[in-house]
Parts: sequence; structure tokens; C-alpha cells
Amino acid sequence: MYFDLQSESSTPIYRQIVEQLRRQINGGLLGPGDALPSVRQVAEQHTINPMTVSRAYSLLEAEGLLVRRRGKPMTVAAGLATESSARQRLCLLQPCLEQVAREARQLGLSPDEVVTLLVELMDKEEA
Amino acid sequence: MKDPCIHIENLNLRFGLAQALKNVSSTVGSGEIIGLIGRNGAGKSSLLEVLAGLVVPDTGSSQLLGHESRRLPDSLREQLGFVFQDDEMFGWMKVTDHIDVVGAHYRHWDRQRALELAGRWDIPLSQRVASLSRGQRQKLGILLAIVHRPTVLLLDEPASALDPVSRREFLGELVELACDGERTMVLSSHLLGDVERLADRIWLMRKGELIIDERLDELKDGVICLAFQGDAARTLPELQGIVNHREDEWGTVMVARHPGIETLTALEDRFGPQLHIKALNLEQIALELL
Repeated sequence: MYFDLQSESSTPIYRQIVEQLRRQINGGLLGPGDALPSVRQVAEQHTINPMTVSRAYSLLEAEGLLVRRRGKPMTVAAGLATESSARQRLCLLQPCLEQVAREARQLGLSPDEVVTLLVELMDKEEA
Repeated sequence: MKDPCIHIENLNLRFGLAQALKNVSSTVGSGEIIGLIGRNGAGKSSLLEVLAGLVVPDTGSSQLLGHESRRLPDSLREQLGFVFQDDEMFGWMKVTDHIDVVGAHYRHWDRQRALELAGRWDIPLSQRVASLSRGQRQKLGILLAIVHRPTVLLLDEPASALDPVSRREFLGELVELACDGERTMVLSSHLLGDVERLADRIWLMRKGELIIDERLDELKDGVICLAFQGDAARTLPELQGIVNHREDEWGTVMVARHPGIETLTALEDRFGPQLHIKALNLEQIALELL
């Protein structure tokens, strides 16, 4: 389980966890039944307040993405349409693409130039 | 809220002409971690000293775990841990002896853990306290405050002299303590990245007043920076909650608290690319509000 948490970001840490888990579940990286690390593990690994982690988990539990069972690790809920539609997954990407769009405009880059670079980068990720 | 662990009401404290605390009130539930921030002289240390019962306020009351801070029974004192800026340690004592002298006051003192921490934090056990470096001395102060696993921890700039690695280890110990969700901490610090990691609630003090007492994530979501390019802001209608406003050659920058999503959407529709809306991190919020 990998989280990239920035304490000095304007996005509260619990929401960074929520967003990253949601991406991984929607993208199929985490499947039904997969166990999540415990609150304590995440808190200690990232040196963050345990309440922050449990708040993020509870939110996703309330949304039905995660399931809590007594004495066992949290797991990804079964029976989710795990592979959500491409459209839904694109929605999750929108905030960072908006930033790319803004910065590309400031740099005076054309959409084609940006897309070419994006394609290259995604090919590299795949490889 | 669970049982209140800290309850302060209308605290006022004056040192000569300076008003160190001005009508400070708040209630903290058990398990909460408060990040106390403010400029030098804002009253942070005074507040912590009143909480600990070391300073008597001119008016108002301060309670810890249901008892007046000034009159805590010994059974409760054992559950407290403090790190203050003027640590009162005996310079002539050896580190091990100092650990044992403090430990003698606590029933739940874990000597093994104290020695293990001292080893891990490079505090030389056989040296005299007076010969320790500032950082080592601060680490010893922290060790003495946490080894008995206190229920309430009051920390006044505990990590100001620590290197980044030691600081992270110290934060790790606090996280470990916080994992059972029942320990209350008030951590004053200028290291706002550390505060963001640990605190779930922020007390922001200015000139003796507690001007912000809010959950960290609500604070972060609620303070919005609006930057209007050029003279776009000139046609701006009156906005609610503006806490800061400045103009320069580039345009106008405003900082608003809880402007409301409808207002933001309306502004975005109206000003388009001439308006940049930005959320802020704690350091930026402190720079805007302090």
C-alpha cells in the first residue's frame, strides 16, 4: 500500500488519503477483499496523527468502499463495480489536469504539445 | 466530545503593561491534539504555564481532567507530562541519575524505556547534564516528559533545537503515544509542518487572544486566497469574511475566511481567468492571520 502524503500541502492529510485510496480502488489497483494497513501502521510510517488516518478510513467506509470487521484489517468492499467507467475515473483525474491546463497556458504551450508529452509519459509508466 | 480533558474559561493574565492572556476560553476533549501557534510574545507559553498550574491567572479558571490546574492531586500529576522552555534540570547531575531522580516521582516510570530512548537519541548517559548540547538537553527534557506515558502532554516548543532526524523521531514517539486515542496534547511550535502532521485542532494566538480555535482541516478548507489580476477587483461587490487585502502592480490579493462555495462559484463565473482561487497550507495561513 503506497501513500504519497504531503504534510505541507493545502489539502488536509485525511483528504489526501481518501483521494489516493479512491483512485486506487476505482482504477482496480486495489480489488475487493484486499486488506488495508492498520491505522497505527499508516500513522507510524508517515508520522501523522492516527485520528487523521481513521477519519479517512471511516469516510470511505461510509461511502461503502471499505468494510470494517472487528479485529481484522479494513478491506476493500466486495461487490463493488471495481472497474468503474472510464468517465468516472477521468473525473478523479480532473483536478490535476486542470492544473496542467493552467500551467500549460501560462507557458504558452499548445494542446498538441502537451498531449504528446502526456502520451510519452504514460508509455514510460507502462513500461 | 468525550469527557473534557482541558477546560479553560476567561483566562486573563497581565505582566506589568503587557496583557499576556486576554479572555482565553476553550474546552478540549480527551484524545485531541492541539497545535498552538502564534508569534513570539503572543501568549503561548503563558497559556501552557497556566494550564500546568505554574502561573496563577489574574482572572478565570483552568482545569485539567476535572481539577483546578493549581490544585491537582498527586494521582493526576502522575498522568501529566511537560516540556517547558526553561527546563529546570540539575546541571551537576549525571544524565542517568537525573532520569532516576525524576522517575522516583512516578509509579509507572519505565526505566528500561528511558534508557533505551536515551540510547536511540544519542543522549550520553554518563555525562553531566550541564555538559550536554542544547539539542541533547532538549531531548532529555522530552524523554523525561513522555517516558511515563502521560495522559496529558503540554509541550512548549519542544523540538526547537532538534535536527530534522531527531525531530522526526520525537514526532514518531508522540504518534506512538497517540495511537490509543486517549492522550491529549497541546503542542506549541513554530515548525508548522510538524504541527500539520500531528494536530487535529489549531489554537492560534495573537496578542494574548485566542483568535482561532478550529479543526485543522476545517481551517485549511475555510481560508481561501483570491487573487484578481489587474484592476478586476475594482468592480468587486462587498465580500464577507475578508481578513486580509493588499494591492500591488500585479493586481489585488484578498484572503477570506469561509467565503462560501456559492460566492466562490459566482466569482469564478464572473471573473474567469482574471481570478485565481487558491487554498493555503498552515504556514501560509499563519502568515496571513498572524
